[in-house]
Amino acid sequence: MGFHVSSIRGRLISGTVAALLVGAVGLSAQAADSTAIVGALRLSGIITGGTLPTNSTEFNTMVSQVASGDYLGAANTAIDSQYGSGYLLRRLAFQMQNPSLSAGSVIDKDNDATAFLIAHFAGAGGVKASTLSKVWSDDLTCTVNVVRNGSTVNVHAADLSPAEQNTIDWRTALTCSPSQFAVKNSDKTAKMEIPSEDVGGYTTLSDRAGDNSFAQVGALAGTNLRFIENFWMIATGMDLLAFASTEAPAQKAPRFVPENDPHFLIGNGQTACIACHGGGLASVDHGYAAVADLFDFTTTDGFIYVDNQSTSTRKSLGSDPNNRQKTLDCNLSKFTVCNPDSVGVDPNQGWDLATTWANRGMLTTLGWTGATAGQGLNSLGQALGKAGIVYSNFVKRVMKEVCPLGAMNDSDVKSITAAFQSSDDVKTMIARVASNGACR
Amino acid sequence: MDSKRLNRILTAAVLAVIPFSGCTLQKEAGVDKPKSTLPLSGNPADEVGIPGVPGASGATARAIPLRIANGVKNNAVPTSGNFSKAINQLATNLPDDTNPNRATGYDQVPLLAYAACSDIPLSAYSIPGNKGASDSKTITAARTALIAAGVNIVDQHTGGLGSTGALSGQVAQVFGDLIDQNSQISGETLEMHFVSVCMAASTFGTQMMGF
Repeated sequence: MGFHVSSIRGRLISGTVAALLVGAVGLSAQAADSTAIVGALRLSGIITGGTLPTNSTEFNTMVSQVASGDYLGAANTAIDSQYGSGYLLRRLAFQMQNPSLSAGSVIDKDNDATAFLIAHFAGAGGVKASTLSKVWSDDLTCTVNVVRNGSTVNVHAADLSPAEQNTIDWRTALTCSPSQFAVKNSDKTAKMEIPSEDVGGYTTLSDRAGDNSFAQVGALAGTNLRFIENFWMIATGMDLLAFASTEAPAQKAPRFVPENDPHFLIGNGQTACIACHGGGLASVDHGYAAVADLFDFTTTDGFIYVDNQSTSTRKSLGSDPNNRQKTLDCNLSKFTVCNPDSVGVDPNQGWDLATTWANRGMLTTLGWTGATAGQGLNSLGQALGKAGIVYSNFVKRVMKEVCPLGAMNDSDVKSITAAFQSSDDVKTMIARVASNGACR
Repeated sequence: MDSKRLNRILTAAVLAVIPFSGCTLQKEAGVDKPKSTLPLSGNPADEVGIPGVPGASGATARAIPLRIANGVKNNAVPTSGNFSKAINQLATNLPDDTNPNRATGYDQVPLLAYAACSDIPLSAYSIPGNKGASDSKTITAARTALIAAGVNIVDQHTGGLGSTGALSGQVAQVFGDLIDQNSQISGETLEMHFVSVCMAASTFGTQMMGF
C-alpha cells in the first residue's frame, strides 16, 4: 500500500508546488526575472506544447525577449525552433487529414501529406517561404533525411521510427522534390506520376495504405464525394450544409443520386438531396468532377490513380462497380437508383463555381478572388488558396490551438487575418496570435 | 507493470484528481449555463474567455510524453521501458484538444509520469543507497538527494523557478515533507520514495496549462 498512498500524496504535493511557484512569481523582488520566465514558459507552452527544453538556447532567448517586452519576438523564436515545427505546425498538419480536425493519437505515424504541410508551414525542405496558399496545389512530394547506422537515408515520413518522430528536426530533415505519385490502376505493381493538372497539393499525397492521410480518408471506397467535401470543409471551416442550396438544376447532381427519391427536390423534414448534390459541395460542378473518376484508395494498394478509366472504374457512377453500367444507362424501367437528368462529371475534370454560387453570394462569403472555372484539381486548389475564408479559417484554427480561452478583440483578429492574407506567412501569423495580449 | 499495481495507480490517480477538479468543474458549469456570468469573449474561436485574463492552453497528447521526458532530462524516454509501454496503452486517452474546458485525459498524466519515473535509475539523480532498501538509515541518508531530485525536475519544467524563486525554500520543503510522510509507511523503499517525488514533480510540470 505504500506506493498507493504516496501517489495520492504526490498529486497533492504537485498542487502545493504549483501554488508556491505562482506565489513566487507574484513577489516584487523576483518580479522581473520570474515574470520573464513565466512569459517565456507560457509562449513555449502554447507554441511548442511545452516541448521546448527550458535549458535550450531558444528558451533563454525567449526569456530575454519577454524581459524586454518583445513578446512577438519571443513567439517568433518559439515557432522558428525545432519544437515549433515538431509540435504546433505538425499538429495543424495532422488535423488537416480529416474533417473532424483531430490531430490523432501520439502513436499515430506521420505521412507524406503531413510532411508536405509541415514543409509549407515552416518554409522548409526547399519550400522557400512559409505559405498556406500553395498547400492545395503545389506539385511536390516531401520526404525526410534521417541518420541510421551512421549514414543519412531518405525515407517517407511514415517510415520514421517512434524515436525518430520524437527527435527529428523537421526544419532541416525535410526535402521536397517535384511531382507526386500514386499506384497505377492498370498495373497495381507500379506507381505513376500524377498528371500535374490533377495534383491537389497535400490532398493527393499518400505512399501507402493505412497512413490516415487525407487521400485515404477521402478516397477509400465510396464515390469520392467524401474527398471533395473534405477538401472544401477543411480549407474553409464551413460545414456541409453551409454550402447547400436548392437553387440548382437536377443536371448538376451526380448520376448515382436517385432523382425519384421523394426528398430529391423538396426535403419534407430533411435537407433536400439536391441542396448538397446540386447546389452544394457534392455538385458535379464544384470540384467533384476533378476527383470523382481519377482517384481510388484501397486497403491493399493504397492511393490509386485511375489511368485506365472505364464504366466499371468510374466512382461518379456509384460506389458499387456492379451497378455502374446500370447507373450510366439509367433505364428507369430496369434500374431506378440514378439521375437520368445528370450531365455526369466532365471527362476533362472541369469545375465551375460561378453558375450556382455567384448569384446567391456564396463566392462573396468565401472571399473568392481566383478563377471561378477551370479544369483539374490543381487549378481549383490554386484558386482556393487565394480565397479570403481560407485565411480567416486558419487564423481561427490557430486561435483555438494557442489561446482557446483567450478574449482577443475583433479588430486584432481582422488585423492579423488581413496581414496573413497579404503575406501568406503561416509562422508569422501564429506568432502574432500567440503574442497577442489575450493569449500570452 | 502488473495489473494489480496498475489498478492501484488508477485508483490513486482518480482520487488525487478530485481535490484539483473544482476550478475546472466550475468553468464547465459556467459554459453549460446559458446565463453565465462570464462576459462574452469577443473571440470568434470560442465562446468563453475573460478580457484581460490570458487564455489557458492545455497540454495535448503529442506534447505530454515529451514534456515528461524533458522534465527528467531524458533519463526516461517515451520509446523504451515502462514509459513506452504505458504510452502504447494510454495513447488514445490523452487530450487532443488544447481547450481545457473541452479536453479529456489529463487524468492519464500521473500514470505516464509514474511509468517514466519507474524507468529512471537512482544514480541519475545521485541518490545514494540500494533502491530496495526501506530502512530509516538509508532513507535519511538519501533525503537531501531526493529533495534535490524533485526540485531539479520542477526546475526543468519551469525554467529554474523551483530553485530560484523567492519561495524556493518552500518548494524544497514540500518535497521534504513528502519524503517524511512517506517514511512513516512501513515497507516504503528508496525507489518508491524517488518515484513518489518524481511523479509529483513531473505531474505538476507536465500539466501546467499555458504556464
